[in-house]
Amino acid sequence: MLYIVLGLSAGQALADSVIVSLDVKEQAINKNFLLAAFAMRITRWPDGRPIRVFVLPDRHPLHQRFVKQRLQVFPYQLRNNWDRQVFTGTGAFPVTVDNMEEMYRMVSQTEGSIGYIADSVKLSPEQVRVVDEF
Amino acid sequence: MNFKHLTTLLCMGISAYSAGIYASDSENHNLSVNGFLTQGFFYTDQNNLYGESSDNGSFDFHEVAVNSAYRFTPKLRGALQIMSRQAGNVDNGEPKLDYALLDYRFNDSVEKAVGVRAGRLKIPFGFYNETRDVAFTRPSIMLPQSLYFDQARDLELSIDGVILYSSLEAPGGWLDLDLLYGSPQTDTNVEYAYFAFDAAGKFNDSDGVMGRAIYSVDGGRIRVGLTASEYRLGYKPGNDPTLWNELNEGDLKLNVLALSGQYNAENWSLTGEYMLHELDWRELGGVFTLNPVTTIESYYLQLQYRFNYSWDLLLRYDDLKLDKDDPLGKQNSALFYTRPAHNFYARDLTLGVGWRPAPKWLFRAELHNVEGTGWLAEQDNPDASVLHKYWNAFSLQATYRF
Repeated sequence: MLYIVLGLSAGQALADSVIVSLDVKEQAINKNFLLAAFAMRITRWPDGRPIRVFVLPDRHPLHQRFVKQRLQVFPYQLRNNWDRQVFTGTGAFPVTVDNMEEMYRMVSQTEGSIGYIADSVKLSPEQVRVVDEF
Repeated sequence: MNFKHLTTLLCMGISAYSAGIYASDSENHNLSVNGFLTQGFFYTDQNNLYGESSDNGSFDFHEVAVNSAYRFTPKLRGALQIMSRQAGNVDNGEPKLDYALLDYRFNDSVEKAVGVRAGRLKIPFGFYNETRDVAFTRPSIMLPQSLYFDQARDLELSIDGVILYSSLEAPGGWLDLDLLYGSPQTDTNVEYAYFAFDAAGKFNDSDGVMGRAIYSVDGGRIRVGLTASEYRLGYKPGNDPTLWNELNEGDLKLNVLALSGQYNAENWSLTGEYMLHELDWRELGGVFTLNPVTTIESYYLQLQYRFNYSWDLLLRYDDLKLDKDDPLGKQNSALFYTRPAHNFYARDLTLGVGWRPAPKWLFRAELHNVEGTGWLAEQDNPDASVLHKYWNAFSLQATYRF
């Protein structure tokens, strides 16, 4: 019983999924990799291909929740990192999409892509893949 | 205002705009174009800051930049930024190549990302130097002038050289390391900053090494940094050796050590930096025989409070001593009798507010209550003897990014 309660609350805390395009080989991604990828600190998958990062706008509630719960940083820290890299020529911005539909579409159509989506969105396994975190 | 370079700015704008359309149309993930425009306003009750601010205020401040980056291969990137900065008599708005670099990354994993950048590079000093001219990366309109003084900005801005960089996994977080070697830009501003006058000769043949380590713990909640650098600026005298203030041929040596610390909570960030900057004029002689080696001591402590995404407050205390052994400037003023004691230190209490009505816009307003004139630019205040010890500044800034 205790196990079920814990399982439920953990499930609610992680109400968003990390999604990748089907060509991405990783079945599970560790938290450090996730943060480094979304912070644009690392730019390649382990197989050497570029990581294409998609995010929702800074003020989007899902973005804020994802960044705080899954990446365990604050949205302003990510924004500071991106700005610092872009305006020193040392890195790039992720691609900002307007909403979850576009996120879904872009991740499914872009090779090497990673993004996130609310669990309420029905996903087709022929379009994108949900990756686990370890 | 200076419109001399308006044509160039327009060209920059148009090409950036068309490149932007190209990039978004083709959904080309390898090419990016970004930029910003900043306009500032400064009013001071005494002394001049970025133009003749003490009369009716000065709009003599803008920063405009366009940058582009291209990923040639997964490992190789190129990036460049052109910037125009007008800042009173310190910067004349002439567009300059801010950085232009190739970046080759050998390793790219969470455990170890390592690469090398070559070309014109932003100087990795402290937390803010690399993006000092980018309004929305600054916590305030003016960065704490004790560490990021605008006077010597050409020296601090970019360097032509090579950086070996890495990001390594470390207990509880990661460690960013930068090791740089290159030849700094040394124009007249640097002479003002380190001589307090425009010398007859000029700096040529300069080089410098710099290393910076930033340890980020818990996703960057805690950041601790250390920067150390050694610069050698070769001075070559002008044609008239009889000039009263001429110096010997030789090297001005600059050593910098800076400690940085930051704590980032959801609604507030506390930041502090401390710097020791040793100036060694021994080889140059001239007026500096009076005080051939001095150490500048600087620190600031800054609190940023974010009410929500749109509004933030800033409170900062910033302290500069141009000679750490003479905190009130009395001995130096006795030696360099044209400069009053308050020209050798400055204490600046800053209160600022920022507003982001939309992601692309940022507005800031700021009050500075200052004792001392140590970091005021000689270019805007040519006669140190008429400067006022106590002064206040009010400034406004609008920035649009694209």
